Amino acid sequence: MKRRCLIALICLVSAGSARADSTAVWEGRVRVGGILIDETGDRSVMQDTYNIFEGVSLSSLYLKGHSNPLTHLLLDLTDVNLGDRRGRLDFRRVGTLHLVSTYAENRYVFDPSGNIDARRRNSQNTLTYTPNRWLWLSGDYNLQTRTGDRVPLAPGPTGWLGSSYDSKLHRWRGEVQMRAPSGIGGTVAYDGVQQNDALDLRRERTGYVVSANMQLPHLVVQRLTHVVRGAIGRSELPYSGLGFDLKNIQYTGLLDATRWARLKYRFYASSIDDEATRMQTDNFIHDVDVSARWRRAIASAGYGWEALDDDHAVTTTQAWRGAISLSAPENKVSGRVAYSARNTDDEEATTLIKDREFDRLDVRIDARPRPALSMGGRVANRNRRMPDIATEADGWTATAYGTWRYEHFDDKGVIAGDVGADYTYADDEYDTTIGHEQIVSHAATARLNVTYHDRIDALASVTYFSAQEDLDLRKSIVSVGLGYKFGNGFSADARYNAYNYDDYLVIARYYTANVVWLNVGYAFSTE
Amino acid sequence: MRHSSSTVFIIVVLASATVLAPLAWLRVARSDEPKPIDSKACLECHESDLSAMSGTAHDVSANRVVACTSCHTHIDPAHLEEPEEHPVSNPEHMRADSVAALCTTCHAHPHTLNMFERDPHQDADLSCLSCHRIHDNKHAGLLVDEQTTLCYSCHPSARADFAKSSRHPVEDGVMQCMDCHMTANQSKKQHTGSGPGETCVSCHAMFQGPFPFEHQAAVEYSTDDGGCLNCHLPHGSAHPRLLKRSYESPNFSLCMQCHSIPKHMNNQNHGTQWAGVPCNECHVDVHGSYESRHLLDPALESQGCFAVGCHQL
Repeated sequence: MKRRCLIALICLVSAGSARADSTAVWEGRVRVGGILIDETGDRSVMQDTYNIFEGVSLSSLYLKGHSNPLTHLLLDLTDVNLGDRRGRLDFRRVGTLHLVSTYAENRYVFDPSGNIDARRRNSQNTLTYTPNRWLWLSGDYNLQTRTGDRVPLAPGPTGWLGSSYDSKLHRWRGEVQMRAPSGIGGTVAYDGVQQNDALDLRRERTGYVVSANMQLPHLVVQRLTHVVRGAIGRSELPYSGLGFDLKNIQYTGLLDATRWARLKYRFYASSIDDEATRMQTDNFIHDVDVSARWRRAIASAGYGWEALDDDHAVTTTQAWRGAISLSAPENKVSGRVAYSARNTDDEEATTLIKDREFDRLDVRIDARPRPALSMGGRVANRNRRMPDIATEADGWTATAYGTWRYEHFDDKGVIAGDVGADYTYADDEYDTTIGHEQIVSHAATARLNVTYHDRIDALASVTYFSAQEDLDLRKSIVSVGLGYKFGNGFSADARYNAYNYDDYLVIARYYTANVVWLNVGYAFSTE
Repeated sequence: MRHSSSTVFIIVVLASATVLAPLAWLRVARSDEPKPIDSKACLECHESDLSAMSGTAHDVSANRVVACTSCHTHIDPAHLEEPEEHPVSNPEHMRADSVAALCTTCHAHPHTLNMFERDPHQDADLSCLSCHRIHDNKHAGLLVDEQTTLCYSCHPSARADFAKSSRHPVEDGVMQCMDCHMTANQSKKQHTGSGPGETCVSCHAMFQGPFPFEHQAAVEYSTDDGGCLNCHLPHGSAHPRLLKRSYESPNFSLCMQCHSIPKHMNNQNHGTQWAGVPCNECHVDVHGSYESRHLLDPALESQGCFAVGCHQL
């Protein structure tokens, strides 16, 4: 109710401003219509339809403009009468004040019939005030509510998560940002959080973090820039009084040794004192990176060392990384090869996986032979070995993509089109002492958008995903849409989506849906 | 002891700030850079740029917080007379690290600092202007495109992740990439936050803990790989609930990532009695328990599971 009153008030103020000031410029649109859904199968397997609600809808309410050149307002509401309602309010007094307020609802479906679901409502409000050019003040408040049902993944007891949700998560932040023309700048912030739960007091928690950062360019040494960050905080369960304290500090120094070479050193230290495990875990990281740049190439290499000390054992990690990037003139072709590896020597008694060895190789190439045409590909290999438990995960991914834009101008306007497509192949293998698991997946998407003389908009898209070997499932979404703008501000549009999901290993796990959106709209502008 | 170490920490930070800030400010005072030219002088010739930035954070019409020379820092006064011979500096032609340094003179918040001090985008020579366009832009955050579309343009494999059967609701418009990436207040790891699952618990707060009985795999600071990510793939997965591995009979390989050592499927006391039974039949509170160090269901007590010499609650 409060939200509706606020919206009405904003509209009235905006309309009043528009009438009062001859410099006011406003544009807006209203779309109303309906959504029709025809579906069969297991509702819980197709996340893409969780937030589609059947019925008549006020699909879109959009207002944007300024009452004078220094005061700007944007209001964008979507599906205000349906379960996926969303909104954004953006008010700016140029150079002084900026308010952004957003709201969104969504749901998660747990059962095949779609009757067991959980809802989230998320509102985010940020106000920034700039009294002068040296100081920024901002306040932020976020409220997330979660209500509804919950079902565990596999049949069994629900545990403390229970079979329903009724919780509110409040988060707030106050921030002071200071800066000077030389580049010196800093921020001090307070973050607070409180989780209230109407069903189980044990799930309630509170916490805060006070953090600060400071950037000090060219201090002491002309070519050296320093960045310092630090934070202290606490998280606590009011029911039991248990909590943990955290504190960390981070320093980064960037030395521009020459015009083409940069040296970067980073130190990070944190400590978490956990009253639940009665362990204080200290974390120290040292990172050194060097990069060299030439006209058409960049080379970088780095080494990192990390230690986790929990008073019982010290776990150390060493990391190496290196990359080379090359580009042709005007970036018509560019490529990059990057390799990183990380070894962890785990002496901690409480973790079972023990030592870990990671390595990752990324190769990518991008080409833009013409301004409207871009294409490229990526190949990546990630490998993770845990020798103490004889486990290895090995994953290959290959992606290819291409996009093309066409534009043609004539007397009646522009004829424009975008077409894009990408394909990703992934092969993930996983070996343990008790078994082997492999998932080979193919994901492809393609999109086409056409605008004809600013009158006709057409779109089509396809999404396809399949997972094979130890899974055998297919998922596809086909979408087509057409919109037409009449000359007097009115418009009409329609969209049709077909959803399909099949799991060939579990017979009951299938889903098919046909969804149609129909809308008529009116757009206006005072310009 | 804890309070004393916190006090020392705070004193060190405050002392550093107290000493370093005046030093930096003194350097500013000594600066002999030419005074910036008022934006009004620029707009006499570049009027179209004013309308292009109207209503954005970089709108120079208020002439208060930001001026043309905030970004075009090197400008020769002779430019006013001979613009071709004395061009102004243009961030679009600068190196990525130089652009980041320029932007952080105003935007000293975590996102820009992340970019400045440790970010793979910068290592790939992508500057702030690779994603943000200051002039003639009406997108939120002055991004060159709608956020998700922009990220997909360089990360097409992320689009494939979000096409999977289980995924975060990015494609639905409920979430955006930056809800998780690049905004962390304390950037320990690339792109995301540090601390106990900082990024994930900003929405999934109930899992933050601390729990009287923690599941070590879920505690980020004691497992290097990162708490939640031991079991979940944050973008998308072919398995339900973003699980990293299969949670299906008989192996439940998700849990067998770590628990193949105790061999729950075949042990000397129970033989193969529990083979094929979902782990959560007994271990109900896998994110951490308020009651059982083995994360067990208290209702099992009636079955004698917690008898002396067996599984203590």
